[in-house]
Amino acid sequence: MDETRKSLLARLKTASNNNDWEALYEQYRAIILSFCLKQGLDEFGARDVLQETMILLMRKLPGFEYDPQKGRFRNWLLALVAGKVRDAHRRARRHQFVALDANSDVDRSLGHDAVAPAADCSNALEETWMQGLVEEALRRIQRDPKTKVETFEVFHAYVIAGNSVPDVARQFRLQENTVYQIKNRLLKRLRDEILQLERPNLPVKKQSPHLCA
Amino acid sequence: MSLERADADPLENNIESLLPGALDTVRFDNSKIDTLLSNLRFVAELLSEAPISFTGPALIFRARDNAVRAVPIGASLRFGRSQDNDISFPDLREVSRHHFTITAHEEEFVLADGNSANGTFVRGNRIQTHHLCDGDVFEAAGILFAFIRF
Repeated sequence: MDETRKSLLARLKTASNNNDWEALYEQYRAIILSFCLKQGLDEFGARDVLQETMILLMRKLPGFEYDPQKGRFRNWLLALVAGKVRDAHRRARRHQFVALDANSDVDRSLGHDAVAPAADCSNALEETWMQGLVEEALRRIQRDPKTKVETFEVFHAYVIAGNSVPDVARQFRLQENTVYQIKNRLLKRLRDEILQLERPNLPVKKQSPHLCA
Repeated sequence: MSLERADADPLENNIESLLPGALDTVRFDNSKIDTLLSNLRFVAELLSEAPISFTGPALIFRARDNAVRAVPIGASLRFGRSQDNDISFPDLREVSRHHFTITAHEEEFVLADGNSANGTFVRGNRIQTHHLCDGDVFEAAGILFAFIRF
């Protein structure tokens, strides 16, 4: 690697500005990527959407105060990301048409099927987003050194894979009651983890006191 | 009759139903984003120093005097050593006479290398053409550029 490229990489690595967008990047990166993949983008397309979302946040966040009264941050961010995913699908379709135009033997209509975006229904989008949240919360619990490997395996076998309690108890040589306890304990941790993920690391707008008649 | 609050969070009621199948659905190769954060930090730094706020797509970079410059792209923009370019670096040998061009095409912007001697690089890959996304960082002759849609 020549010196110029080394110094460029060093410049990229040290050019740090610890802003709100960076906290949101850490918090939502995996959820945004997961959402993009589930909406039919490939890994490169998902990366582009994550990048474009962060650039938009960089520009919108200065002076932004999160006001929980106006709705969930999740919905605001989801609308933003879903718009970027739609743009990415449009781009992919256009590029495919260009490629197809260059090869006139191929039926142009193929382009529609090959990059058909997932159903653009807000409930379905929200459910996909929530699925990503739950998965990221699970990954965090799994990575947490306080989580014993076997405890997570029991939870996975019972709650995620859907095996029966007697089967899981037999497989792990546990009392059935212990399986239930593990489920309840990890579900509580899961809810706490989701709460953390849902709380944007942003200044919160102070509420003015309500006047009651 | 049970009443549900209008603002009840659908997630709260759905956690258990979302669990089956979780962890099996997404496997993202992190090597695809390993340079993204450093690129984003670089763009954030440029944006914080950019002198003017634009309303259209622009190219931002740090000039040789270390000042950040933001040049609007318009229909097209050409960079090179020759004086007839929109951005010209006449005394930098590594820059080719017509090094790269960015052209607006429908809603997109296409970066095209002008057969330069030292190349144009996006995410470490030498490119001939590349469709630019908001926030893309690329390198030509040792200079880093960021494409911003504004």
